Amino acid sequence: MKGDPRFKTWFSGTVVLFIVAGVIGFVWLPSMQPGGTVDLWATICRAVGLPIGPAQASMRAGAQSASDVAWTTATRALMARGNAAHGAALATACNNCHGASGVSSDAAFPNLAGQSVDAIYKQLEDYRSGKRNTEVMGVFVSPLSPQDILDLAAHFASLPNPFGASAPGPASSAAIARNLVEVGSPMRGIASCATCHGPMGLVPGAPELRGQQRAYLEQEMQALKSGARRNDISEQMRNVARQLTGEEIAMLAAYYAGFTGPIPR
Amino acid sequence: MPGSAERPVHGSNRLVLAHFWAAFAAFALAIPLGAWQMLARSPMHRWVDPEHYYRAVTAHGTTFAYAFPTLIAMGFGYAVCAVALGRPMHGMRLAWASFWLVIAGAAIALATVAAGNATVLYTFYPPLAGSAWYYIGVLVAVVGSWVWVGLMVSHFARWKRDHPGLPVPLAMFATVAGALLWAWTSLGAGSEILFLILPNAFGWTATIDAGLARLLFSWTLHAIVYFWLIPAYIAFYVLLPQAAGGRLYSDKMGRVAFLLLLVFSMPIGFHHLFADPQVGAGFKFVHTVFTGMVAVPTLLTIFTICASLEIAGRLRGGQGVLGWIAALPWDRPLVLASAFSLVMLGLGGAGGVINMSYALNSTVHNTQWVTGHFHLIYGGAIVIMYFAIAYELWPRLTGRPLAAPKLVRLQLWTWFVGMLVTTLPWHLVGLMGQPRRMAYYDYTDPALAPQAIWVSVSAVGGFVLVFSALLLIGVLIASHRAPAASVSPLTFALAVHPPRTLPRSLNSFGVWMVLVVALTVANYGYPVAQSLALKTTGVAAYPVKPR
Repeated sequence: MKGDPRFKTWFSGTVVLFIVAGVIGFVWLPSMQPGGTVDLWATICRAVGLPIGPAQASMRAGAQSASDVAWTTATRALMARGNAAHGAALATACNNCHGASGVSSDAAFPNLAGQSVDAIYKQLEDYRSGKRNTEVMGVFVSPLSPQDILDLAAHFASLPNPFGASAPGPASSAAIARNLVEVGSPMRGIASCATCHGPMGLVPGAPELRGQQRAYLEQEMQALKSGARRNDISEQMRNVARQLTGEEIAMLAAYYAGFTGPIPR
Repeated sequence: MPGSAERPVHGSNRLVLAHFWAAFAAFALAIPLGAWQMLARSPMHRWVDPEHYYRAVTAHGTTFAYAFPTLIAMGFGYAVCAVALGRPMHGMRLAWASFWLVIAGAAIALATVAAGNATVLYTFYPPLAGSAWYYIGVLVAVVGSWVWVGLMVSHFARWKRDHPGLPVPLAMFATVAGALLWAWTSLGAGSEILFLILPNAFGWTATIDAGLARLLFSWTLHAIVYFWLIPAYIAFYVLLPQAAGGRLYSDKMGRVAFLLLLVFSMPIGFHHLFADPQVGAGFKFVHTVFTGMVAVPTLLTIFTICASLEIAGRLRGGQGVLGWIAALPWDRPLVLASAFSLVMLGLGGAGGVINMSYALNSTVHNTQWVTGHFHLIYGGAIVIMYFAIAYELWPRLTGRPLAAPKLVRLQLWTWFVGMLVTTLPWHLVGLMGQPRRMAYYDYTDPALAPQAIWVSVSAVGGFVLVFSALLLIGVLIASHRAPAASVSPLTFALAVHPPRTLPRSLNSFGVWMVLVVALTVANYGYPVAQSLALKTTGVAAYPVKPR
């Protein structure tokens, strides 16, 4: 090849290496795996990374889902279509309980200012579909169109979060609560609250809890613990709440409510 | 060897010095951050705000992955180009432009990190999403380095055109191998930023394919280490034999080693993705096999270098099976640094074999073992050779002798000892199961308590490294300010049998690049195509905002 026979040696050596590695990696090793099939073609497909059979089948199994909302590409695209200005107009109906700036003056009603679009969107959708208890919220949500829900989510997400830069307050129970928030309780399968709900981070759909109302938090955690509230996808919050004692729930609610910051007027 | 005392590297002195000073300035800023991180997550310090911890990790990693080694490779590349080809360089304006692009890119990226807008770690794996400025900064720095790649290739091609049939000097051949390797491998992260991250950051796409992004980053992630390694290997081949007072054992062996690095260091990145679900197991195995192949050029290098040192030792009167080792001139920085580097390369290489083994990897995956490993290989074996290169170049660049030879040796010793004290317990803690990338650990937990002592030892090692870094900067500044004296020009080691003619395969890259591209297509083509074809793999970005 091009005047130097060494190229041929190197190229064919590399090709032989590739073929040998391929035969071992795509045929021999996968066929040795437990659960491996006798069908050579299926074995190769699995090693290549092609799903065998309908991948959706196992996901559809099981009973009724906890929520109609799924964090898919389509949902993301949908949530980008919210109109915050229209949402602000609609929000006049929310202000009595949730506060004009999205910060409630009643401990039983949650603050909405600065929550993520996904967090607001998911809860409103769950109220609309009846996946979350509609006793109070049902009457407010039923007249909303799908676009209204998107607009409200965009509106509340656009409000400044007054607790975004706040620190935990000096609650007496802080040591236990802080440990649960920052470390969790691995032996009970409780992940640290802070990784999903702040201050360490937020994951899609998880509400920011800093500065959230104490009575509301306690009530919702109790509802998740008892199973009265069941709109958490894959039971991720029910699994945590079941492991918490009533005392711990109260401490956690006080801890998160203790994040104080200036409330915008 | 052409060259005079006044213009030892042919008028490119200022260019090379600028690169080295910029690199060491970045180094001096980023080293204390690393030591602080070791301390902050050790039991000797109270827990810190994770935001500050990750910000420091991102700044440290970004500096040491994209700014520092790139500047060293570029600066050393220019020095090699000028000295090895023995004629003035062309394209000096482009070279300066590329320098300023790298500086500007690094400054933009690091300022964004410092402002807390890009706490994404230097691997910036989506769906973590920082400010667009961070990625733009990294991209600008990479584009700057591509100009350097172009200059190296152009000098290589012109020299070959003017000297038909003659072997390209080994140092230049190796530099071009490194440049081509970098050009090809940086395309992975480059295209990840251009086609996945930035469109998402600008809001043009609602989701980002995190799996594909990881595939593309792995394209860069492993070979980038070999791009960092190549200046160290060049120093082994062309500077060390001469500093030791001998000759290079084999010029051809060096060429084979650099060509093997060029071919095999890129299509092997999946060994970083063994736990990733988006890649088929078969491809992971194939990448394991090819990762095994990159051990070959390193073993060839160790053999050739030891043989060269034995020649030097025996020329200096060493006798017996091992007597030549004692006869080597251990007071010379390059000899001392090379020995330290080989020890760390040996230890780190052994750890690397564990990381690349598909089965063994699961034991250490995502643990502190991995961070210990790459600090030992890169911060230890490679960076200590950067120091040695700087010590070798400094008198030639400044026209002043190296100040305080004793401090130079102390600096190399403290770096070697500090790195071992830092990284060996780090490996151990990883084996004990400590995950990496965490801001704090509760050592009062009985499950974690046994790790406390080793993490503390490791943190102490970090401060030994800070001391060594200060020494380095002090020596370089003092040498730069010393009175001018006559300094012998930089020359490169001769081989025992210098090649008069070379076969095409050992004197050119064109056909080799075909093999590089073919292997990339074979090892990456299907998984990348599969990710592109699947429409359901997008996830929401997870924006990182300052608090």
